[in-house]
Amino acid sequence: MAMAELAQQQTAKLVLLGEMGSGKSSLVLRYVKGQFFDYQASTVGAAFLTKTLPELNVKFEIWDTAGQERYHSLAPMYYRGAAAAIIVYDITSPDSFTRAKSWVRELQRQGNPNMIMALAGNKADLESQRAVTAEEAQAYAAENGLYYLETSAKTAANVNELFEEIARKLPKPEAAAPRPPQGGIVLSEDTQRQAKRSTCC
Amino acid sequence: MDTTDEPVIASASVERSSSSGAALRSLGSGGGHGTAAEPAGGGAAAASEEEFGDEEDEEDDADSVGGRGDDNDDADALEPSQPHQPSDERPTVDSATGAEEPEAETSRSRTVGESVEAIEAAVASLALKHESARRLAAAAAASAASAAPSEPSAEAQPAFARASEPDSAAAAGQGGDGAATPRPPALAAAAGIDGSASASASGGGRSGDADGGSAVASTSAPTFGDDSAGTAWEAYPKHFFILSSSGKPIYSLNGDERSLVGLTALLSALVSVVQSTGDAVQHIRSGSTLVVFMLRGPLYFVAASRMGEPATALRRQLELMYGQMVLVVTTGLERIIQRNPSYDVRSLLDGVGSVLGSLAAMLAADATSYLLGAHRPLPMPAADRAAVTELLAEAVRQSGALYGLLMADTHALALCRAKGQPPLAPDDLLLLANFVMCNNAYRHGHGEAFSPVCLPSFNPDAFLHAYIHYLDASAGLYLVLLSGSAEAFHPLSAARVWLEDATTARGLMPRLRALRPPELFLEGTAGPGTSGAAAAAVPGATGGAGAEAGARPVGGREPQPPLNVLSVESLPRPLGGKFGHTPLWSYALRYNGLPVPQALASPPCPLHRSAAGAKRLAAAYAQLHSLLHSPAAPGRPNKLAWFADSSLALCAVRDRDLELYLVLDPLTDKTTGMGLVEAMRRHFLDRQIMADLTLTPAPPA
Repeated sequence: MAMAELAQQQTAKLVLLGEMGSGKSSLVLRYVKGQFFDYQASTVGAAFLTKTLPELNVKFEIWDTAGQERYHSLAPMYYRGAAAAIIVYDITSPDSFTRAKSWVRELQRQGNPNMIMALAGNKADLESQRAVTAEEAQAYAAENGLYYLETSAKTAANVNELFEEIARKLPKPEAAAPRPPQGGIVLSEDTQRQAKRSTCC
Repeated sequence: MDTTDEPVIASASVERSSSSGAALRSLGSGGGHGTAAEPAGGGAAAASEEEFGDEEDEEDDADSVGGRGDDNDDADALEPSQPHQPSDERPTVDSATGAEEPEAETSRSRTVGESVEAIEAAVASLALKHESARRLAAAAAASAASAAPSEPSAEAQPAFARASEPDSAAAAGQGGDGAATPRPPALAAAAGIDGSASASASGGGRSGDADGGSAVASTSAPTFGDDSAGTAWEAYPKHFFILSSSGKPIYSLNGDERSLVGLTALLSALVSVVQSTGDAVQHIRSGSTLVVFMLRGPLYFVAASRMGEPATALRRQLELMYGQMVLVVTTGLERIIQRNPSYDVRSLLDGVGSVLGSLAAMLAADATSYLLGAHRPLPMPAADRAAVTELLAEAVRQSGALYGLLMADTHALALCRAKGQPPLAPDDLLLLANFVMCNNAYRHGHGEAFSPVCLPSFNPDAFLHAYIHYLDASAGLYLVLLSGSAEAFHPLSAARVWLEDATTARGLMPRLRALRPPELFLEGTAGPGTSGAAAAAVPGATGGAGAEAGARPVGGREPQPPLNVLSVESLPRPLGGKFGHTPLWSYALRYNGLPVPQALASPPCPLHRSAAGAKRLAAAYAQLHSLLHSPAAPGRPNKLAWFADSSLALCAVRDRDLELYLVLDPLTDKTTGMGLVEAMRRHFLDRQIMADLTLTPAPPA
């Protein structure tokens, strides 16, 4: 990894939340690697990815979290200090929309107040099975100040737009990066000694 | 095919009375035997008649709801000439039902008797159980009948027909007579159970009449050989169930646990009946079926197997199932159930089913993976292992991790721990490996994975945080760094980058990638995704896979040479040689003398290189292990075990340094066996050889 050239970039922590099976991993995978799998194994815990947008001089540090209920208590760890959150629901599942709303509430209550929140209605390619109307979601998003978009990881529709729009909305000052990029630099000798000390005591 | 079952059973059931023969004849002449919807009143007790009435309705529903398509397909394939006339079904059912009743009565009393005798733990409750089993059975018959998913019951009979191929010549004739008298599948299955009950003394069976017989019967898997294991619920020779103390189904290895409500109620009733006497049920044997119970707080774990594994092995498997569940959700799950027994915890267990399913498949295919309770190193040149262990230790130090593991599938290349940490428990390692392996999100991970995992032996109440990274997905080579802190991601990630760079810089990476963990012959149908969330995809997914078709190497890899050092072919004389040239077929060994015991096993001989073969081998090892470890007198452990039958000879020895398990040609005599044991000891206790086989103790952290 060429850390040096990224140094002056703005690093933004981005977290994806939403119900299990709503397509968080598929969205990220489509965005970061341009891939899509019909059967995407469910994420356990969380997965970490990065993606750089040179034209906007932004580096996303993306936390793709697990949708399973049992990992809910771990979510604060991932959205704490995040500059942006994408809350994903599945347009064919009203339950997932309900779950998305509760994520929004949780973030409003406990998240970073300046966090940019986006609501993504995923699986837009499954129009025939739609169960959540665009109007309903749009109205909810407007009410709560969310950026709203319907996406399809399968067809790639609106995926880049979603992430790029978030990148554009990021506040420009460096305050947006709570955790500066560390990369390989962490492994200096100091850290070693530090680590040694901590294991001894 | 339906009608083909009948004669098969007749020929299979040695002790079948003439009444069943009459029944068959009446069935054969069957079409117009009775058109009323109620059962033809035989001489059976009113209670059972009622039961059958109920059951029959259930079965009819089941048949019409699902599975008929499959049924037809299979039936046509097996007996193309057979006309299939659904309209004839009902009358035939009736006659069949009538015919079944007296038979059911006898099998009932027999199975109850057997199971009652077999409760070793609860002698006092025998009479009670006998009574209650009957009562419960009567109550639960209907629900149990509906408990079995309709499809499996429909597919049960092709399985039967296939399984009993040798008899089907006789069957065909009878089938001809009985043309146009297809019976509802479940009844066919029920009849099959009776047949198997008398032929192989298996009391197994889900179906109504077996249920009526005893609770045991309903938990066990009926049918004949493993090769009949299609998608039928009954056809599986092995089951795992998890239920809560309130009888709520939580997990079932085969089929959908939601359809098992009646069965789990029965199981929990069995448990509580024994509990009410102040005792705990351990296991129940019914014919060839062994049902083992393990109670963990509010969770009941039940295994039912016809695989010939001893109770000790099944209990170990249940412990691992429990451990696997704890690994994913910690013991918090038990606390939740304790607080609120009626809470449906399955919402917290999304995806756990596939982890448990893959564990069950591994346990069935490889007994050496769990029985020996030892770390399982992958052989590699000692110098390479020392080098990579040193690097791993450095990465652990740098990142502040508690443990670092470099693994290939379930085998360890290097293990390191931070200062002051206990060695990782072998079970924890196995469960963690299974957890990592069965989740494709890691292997084909699209990012860096950071997952909470709980190591049951380390601390069952809390999560550790695991950084999981595949160094080579095709070689199954992965790194796990475990940390106690949820904030540790970035240091762990950095340490992984450093480790990868350092390993590459020293030229170790290509050599690591060339290593191949041994191939596991898993049964396609019992693999990940068989249960729980993926239940919908189950029937027919890999259904009907026979021994060969069902066998698949993990990850579809080519079996590769690096395990050469362990293969029987490469051992020195008199041990080694081509299959057939040496009495030694395969072996497993455990180094008892090392700080943490380590175990190795040879790749299977050609006879066991299939899913079915692997299962037979696993059962043999389990039997042998149990033999060696169940001393005749407490405090005087066995040092030697010898067992021989017509299919193989087994020999095990144990001392301070080594435990040896040999699977031998059945014609091997004891003297030859002992000679092999001595040669094995000499070979594997050789320092030079041990160096490549065992894990290097990590440099002091």
